[in-house]
Amino acid sequence: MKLHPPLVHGDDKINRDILRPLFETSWRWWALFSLCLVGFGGGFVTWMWMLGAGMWVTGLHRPVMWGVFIANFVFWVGLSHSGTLISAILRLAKADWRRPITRAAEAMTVFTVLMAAQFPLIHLGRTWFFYYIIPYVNQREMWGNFRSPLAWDLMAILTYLSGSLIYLYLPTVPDFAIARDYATTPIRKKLFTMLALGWRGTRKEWHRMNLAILMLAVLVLPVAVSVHTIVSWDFAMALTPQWHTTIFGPYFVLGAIYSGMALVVTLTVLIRWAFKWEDYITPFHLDKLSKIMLVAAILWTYLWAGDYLITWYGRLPEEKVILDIKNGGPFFWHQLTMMLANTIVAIPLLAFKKVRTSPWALMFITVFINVGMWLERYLIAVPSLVQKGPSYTWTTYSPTWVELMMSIYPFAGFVMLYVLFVKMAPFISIWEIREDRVAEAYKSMGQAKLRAIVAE
Amino acid sequence: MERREFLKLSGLAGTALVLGGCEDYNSQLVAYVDRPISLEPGEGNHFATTCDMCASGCAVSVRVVEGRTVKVEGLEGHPLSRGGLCALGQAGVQHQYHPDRFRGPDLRSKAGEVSADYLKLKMLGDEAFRAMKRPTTVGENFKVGITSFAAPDFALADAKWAETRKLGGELWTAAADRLGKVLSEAGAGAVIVLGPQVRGHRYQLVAQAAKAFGAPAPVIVEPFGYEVLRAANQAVYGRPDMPYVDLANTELALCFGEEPFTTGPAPTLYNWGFGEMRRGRELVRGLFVVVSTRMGEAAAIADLWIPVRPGTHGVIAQLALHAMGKGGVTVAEAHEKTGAPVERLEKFVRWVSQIDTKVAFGGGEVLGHTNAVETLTLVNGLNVAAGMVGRKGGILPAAPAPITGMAPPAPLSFKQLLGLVDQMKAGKVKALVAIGVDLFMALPGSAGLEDALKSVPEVVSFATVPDDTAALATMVLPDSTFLERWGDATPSVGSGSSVATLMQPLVVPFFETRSAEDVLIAASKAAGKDLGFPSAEAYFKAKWAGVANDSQVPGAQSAWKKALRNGGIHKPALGAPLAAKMPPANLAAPKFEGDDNEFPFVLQPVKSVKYREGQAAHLPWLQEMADPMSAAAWGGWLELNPHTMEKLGVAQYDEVLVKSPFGEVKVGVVPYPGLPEDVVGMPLNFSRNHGTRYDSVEGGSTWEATMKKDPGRGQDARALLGAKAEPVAGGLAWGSVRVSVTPTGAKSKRLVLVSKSIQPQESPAVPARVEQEFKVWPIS
Amino acid sequence: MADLLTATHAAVSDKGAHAPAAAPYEGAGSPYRWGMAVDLDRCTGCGACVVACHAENNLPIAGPIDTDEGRSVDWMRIERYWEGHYPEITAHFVPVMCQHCSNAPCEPVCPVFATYHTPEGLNGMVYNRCIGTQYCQNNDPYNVRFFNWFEAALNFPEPLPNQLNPDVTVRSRGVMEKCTFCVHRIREASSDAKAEGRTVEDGEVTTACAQSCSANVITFGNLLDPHSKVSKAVASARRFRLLEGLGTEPVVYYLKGGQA
Ligand SMILES: Nc1nc2c(c(=O)[nH]1)N[C@H]1C(S)=C(S)[C@@H](COP(=O)(O)OP(=O)(O)OC[C@H]3O[C@@H](n4cnc5c(=O)[nH]c(N)nc54)[C@H](O)[C@@H]3O)O[C@H]1N2
Ligand SMILES: Nc1nc2c(c(=O)[nH]1)N[C@H]1C(S)=C(S)[C@@H](COP(=O)(O)OP(=O)(O)OC[C@H]3O[C@@H](n4cnc5c(=O)[nH]c(N)nc54)[C@H](O)[C@@H]3O)O[C@H]1N2
Ligand code: SF4
Ligand code: SF4
Ligand code: SF4
Ligand code: SF4
Ligand code: SF4
Ligand SMILES: [Mo]
Repeated sequence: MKLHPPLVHGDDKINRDILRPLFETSWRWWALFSLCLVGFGGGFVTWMWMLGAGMWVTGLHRPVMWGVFIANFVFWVGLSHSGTLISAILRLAKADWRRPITRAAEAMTVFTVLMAAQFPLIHLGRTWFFYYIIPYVNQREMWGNFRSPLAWDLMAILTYLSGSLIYLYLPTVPDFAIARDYATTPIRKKLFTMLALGWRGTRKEWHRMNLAILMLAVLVLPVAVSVHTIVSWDFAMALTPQWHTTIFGPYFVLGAIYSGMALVVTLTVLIRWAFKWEDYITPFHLDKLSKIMLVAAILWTYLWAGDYLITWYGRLPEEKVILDIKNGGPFFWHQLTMMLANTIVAIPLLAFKKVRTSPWALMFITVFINVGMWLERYLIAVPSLVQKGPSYTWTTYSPTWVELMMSIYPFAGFVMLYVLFVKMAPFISIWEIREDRVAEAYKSMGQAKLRAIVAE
Repeated sequence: MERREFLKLSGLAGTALVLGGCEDYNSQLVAYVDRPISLEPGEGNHFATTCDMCASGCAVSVRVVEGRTVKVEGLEGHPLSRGGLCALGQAGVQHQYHPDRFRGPDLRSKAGEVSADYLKLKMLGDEAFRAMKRPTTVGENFKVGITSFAAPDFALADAKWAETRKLGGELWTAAADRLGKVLSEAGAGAVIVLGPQVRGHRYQLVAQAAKAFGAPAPVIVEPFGYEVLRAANQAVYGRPDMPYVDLANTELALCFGEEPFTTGPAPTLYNWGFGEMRRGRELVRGLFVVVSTRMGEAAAIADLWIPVRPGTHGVIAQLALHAMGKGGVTVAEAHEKTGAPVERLEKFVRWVSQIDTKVAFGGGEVLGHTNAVETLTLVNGLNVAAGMVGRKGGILPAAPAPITGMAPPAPLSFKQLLGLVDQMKAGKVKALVAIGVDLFMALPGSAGLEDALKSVPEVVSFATVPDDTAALATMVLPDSTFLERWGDATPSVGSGSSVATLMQPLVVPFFETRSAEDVLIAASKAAGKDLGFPSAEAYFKAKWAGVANDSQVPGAQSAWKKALRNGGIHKPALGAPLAAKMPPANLAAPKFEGDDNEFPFVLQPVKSVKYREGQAAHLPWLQEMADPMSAAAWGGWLELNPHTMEKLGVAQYDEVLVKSPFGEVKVGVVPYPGLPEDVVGMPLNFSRNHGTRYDSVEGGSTWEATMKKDPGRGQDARALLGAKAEPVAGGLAWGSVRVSVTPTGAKSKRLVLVSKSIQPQESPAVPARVEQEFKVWPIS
Repeated sequence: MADLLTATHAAVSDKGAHAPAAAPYEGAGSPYRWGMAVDLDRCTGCGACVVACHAENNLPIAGPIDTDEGRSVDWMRIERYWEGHYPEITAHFVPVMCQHCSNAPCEPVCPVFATYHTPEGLNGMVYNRCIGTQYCQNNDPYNVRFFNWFEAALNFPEPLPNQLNPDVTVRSRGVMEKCTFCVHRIREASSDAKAEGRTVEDGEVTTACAQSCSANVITFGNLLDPHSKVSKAVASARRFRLLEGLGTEPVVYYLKGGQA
């Protein structure tokens, strides 16, 4: 490609490499994009059809009032975690290796939350009155019920969404500025000019930027942790067998980090391959990510086993019948697959550096892990409901095509947003990479440890 | 207008009651299903009348709001309903407002072919409803229910209603002429059949009309009836009618095969008696013993259940005789013959020998066996042996109705009914008139009623809703429901009181329906044979003129008013003392149709509270209600002992082919621990070949029919029965058929289960928490 | 005779049992505390109460397929429990409706206060607030809350709607519903009483299920009135409540069946 002669923006190669996707669009991009569009559109139409016809088109029935929709909700909220979390933690820890992957991770958070946030609406019987839950001064003289975990959910999710959005946008501003200066077509110029908020890169600006990012990182961490804790309370606060357990808070958070890390790795490998960014995202990075993943895997397994052991040992009648249908019965295969994916396969394999550094092995493992994590959510929501209460009312649950479509929907939607994002913003934080490079250049000089010049 | 006149006179016209002409009436309609944001509920008024959904004849209290009957309730202090009501009685309003109800007379040129005029009538009604934005079909329902909130056009609606009324009037005139002609021509060849719930002067009026036309006296057809019980009563009590079983005051009740609380001759009365027996007295808690093959509702709540092989109930009666030191059989023999566990039999003997105040009665599954009369005679004999006939807490004579000439003659026995069918086949019947009965519900599939009816030139049906008889009729003259017409009744069973109940029109019918009385009066007039009464109202008023003298209230009119308010008249009374002949203790072994290698199972047909003898099958409330025992709904099911299921390799919901020497049906399997391994249970009378949208064999049209495929209810157990009469009393031996059961490999599309789990087999853990809580305490 | 029936005599008496401690709950101060006694020893499983509730409260008709799929609506149902194997088999009937728990698990989880506790101890349901999260049913240990999966109108073709009770709204699609203790009857009685400056007398108001039951299984009334029929019935030694261990404090008391 013939780029407009660069203004002085330091290392021109990095700029060109990383900005390429913004200005060049291959047929592969279009193919992927339309594929997602189909899945997303299909899901959306299904949703509208359900709104018109009624909830009977799902497999839900008394007493199984929560099924695939809620499993999807928890799953997608979970995925959102690692994005912000690792980028924040690593920023605070000043781990330089984070630089190439933070933005991909932060973007992931925003898009997954966007998907997750739809499911509470999708599963409502009267979606068109969802705003009753919002505490606003209204002609109904009614506030929402603050005792309800669903009300907490609403607040937690909205906070998290807005937080992560800012946290994604802020560090991108300097890169938008670069993109602005490289943009050729007037539309792009206009767009990036807007997004760059007139960033000029003065020392003052850089100072404030770093301060802001630091503060956000500190703020967003507790939110991230609390969000999934609160989601876990949708279950833990209930009187339903196997939902009513104190371990759910940490257990959900860990599960979230675990599945989130897995998705980060999946995406990193894909991006690395798609944009040939081998020299920005190196096996070194994959290894680090996988190590975090390994730790999450071990901790998750520990908590799961803890919960399982207690239930099994305690043998409360109501809980035992639920345990039984997971150990044998209709949910046996779900649970077995989950254990294979999350523990039996993942942990031993990730123990080997060879695996941790081989992109395609990681690809397989991480996708499998997320299959397992989805099943984990499903196993939390459904079995407790099919055999709760008087056994006269016990039943089974099998999702219909509607629920299937509504499970494809967020996947397609997520990838679609991601694919669009690639066209919207530099996908690797250019300035942070360069910051890193510059810093490295100085490190080699004798013993002196000179601070890197942060910006030209 | 007569009715309004009456309501003024009778002083019952409630404040907000709207009973004007139909124009203003219909424009009052509000469809509550359209979410009445601003509806001010009107005042309700309660009126007394008589439920005629079964022969029991409960007086009921009906809530009428703005010209609609919205709730049927028991009438406080009435000797039959005792202030309560059975499931079927509750559904009376649904019977009245049934969406498939006949909208007017259908005078057909050919049997089974709906006339153009009727179609027009129906179309006009639909248009009227549509104008009022009231859906009458599933399709419209779906639209209106979800989208349309357009304003109703009442003017157009009223116009349409006016047209309907005009056309209806013409049709009724034509109908009267034609019915008159048909009956005159048929003369002695005309057969008039009425249903068992016809328990009052309706019979006499019909008989009078029959006489006028030179037709034989009308007969009463009682589907799966009590002829054998009547024979047994005759043999022991010297009278065929059903006495008062004084449950309320007894200390030990021995129930042989009967399901008194759900499908017996008087569910409400027996329910009340049972409650009183158990917990109605300060210190005595009566004991309830049930002897049966299948554990039904009665056995489920018994203090002691004696499970016996099919048709061996009589042996236990003999054991009871033994316990009372009156011969009979020993425990060992009884165990030998019935297969009942020894320790239960010993407990039985102990109870029977220790408790004096006891009563024995039978019916239900016993009625269907070839040795039914002998068995029930033995059972009645127990009361004689115990000296409980005519004693408090025992068997008390039923009191005659306070008004003479009310009780109709005994219904035909099944044998006589078969004779009638043969006559039809032989072309001896020129005209068949069915009033309040669907003949198909009384006959096994193998009886060939369809062919028989086809060889009857004129079939006249007074059905309210579509049934199989009406489907083959040349004339359908829809009757009014018990909420819309005049009538009266006296209960079919003893209740410790002398009872006559009154039926009065509470609302104006929406459609062009008329009470059979009015139609017959008009038909007779048209044929130049005056019955001497201008209208049904006049007829019943005349018949009740007598109440003035019995009542303390001076003046016939006020006594009449009083009777109307109390749903008739009743006073505690007993009939003339019963005989107490000790019958011979002999008992033949039951016989079964079909060779036991080819047909390894005995079929136990089940009368479910959901369907009764078929009167309930068209009512969605009762179709959807879970059967108390099998927990199945919407149609039929096959009950199999779980061990038998293992042997056959079938699971819940599997479809099986049930074959008998007389027919076969496909049905879904339900695990039923309350049956022996060599007996299978299947309900009767839950479907019709040409029924309503709710009880059709092949797919009805609930809204699902448009969204999902409604598979229909399928054939019921009638398809498996032989048209075989039991030797002594000529009853239908519906419990004497053997069947084979073979899996089809498919899952049943028709089986509907409200509860899918059978405890405790499935969940050893849960009873510890839930079931244990209401586990009954054991009895010594 | 002697020991058998005297044994019965002694134990059958409902006298001398401890009076029920009215379960603790907030918002007292109302003269009423509606409650119910269900005598399992009288119940024959006849199902009249089930249909009575349908008739009184305009319950939707689900149709065959949705009934099988578990979407039928029975505010009152007769649960049947098998015990043992033929011939050593028994079955029990338990009429189960909303237990109107004093500590109702269904209430705190409702984000819009659509289900809440009235000062009279009813678990109320204000349909037009409900947004259909279905959370309350998940948290109801008795599974007696029913969701409107489809428009009720769909199964009320004319003239069927005319059977509907104008005192009770037909619930719209997407809202939760359940036994209300026939609250519209309570409202009517209590406002009548109020107009006459008195409180509702015992027996002045009863529920449709209780009314329909000719076996007199169900007794409804005011638990705060020590002389009411229900208070007396509930004083029985046979008394227990479903899943009492959960501490939901239902106001529906069951009386154990069998000889006791
Ligand atoms: N979020 C939200 N809040 C709202 C509204 C909304 O749409 N959304 N609507 C507002 C409006 S318009 C109103 S009128 C109020 C309504 O709700 P309110 O009338 O403000 O609440 P209550 O007065 O408690 O309910 C009325 C009475 O009805 C009785 N009741 C309880 N359950 C039932 C039942 O199932 N059926 C019947 N018939 N009565 C029952 C209770 O005893 C209660 O005392 O809520 C207001 N608040
Ligand atoms: N099944 C059932 N039906 C009921 C009731 C019940 O309890 N159960 N309650 C009855 C009662 S008491 C009432 S009041 C009615 C209430 O019934 P509606 O009047 O329908 O009340 P809502 O549906 O809560 O609100 C009506 C519309 O107001 C819109 N709205 C919200 N905020 C505003 C605003 O600020 N301005 C304007 N212009 N519109 C706004 C909302 O989008 C909604 O569509 O329902 C009645 N119907
Ligand atoms: S027992 Fe018969 S008469 Fe009495 S209410 Fe039931 S159906 Fe009507
Ligand atoms: S009506 Fe009474 S006896 Fe019949 S099932 Fe209901 S509670 Fe039991
Ligand atoms: S029984 Fe269920 S619905 Fe009723 S109050 Fe208790 S928890 Fe709520
Ligand atoms: S379904 Fe309705 S009543 Fe139940 S929790 Fe949700 S909003 Fe509240
Ligand atoms: S109390 Fe009323 S609402 Fe509740 S089950 Fe009985 S009839 Fe139905
Ligand atoms: Mo309102």
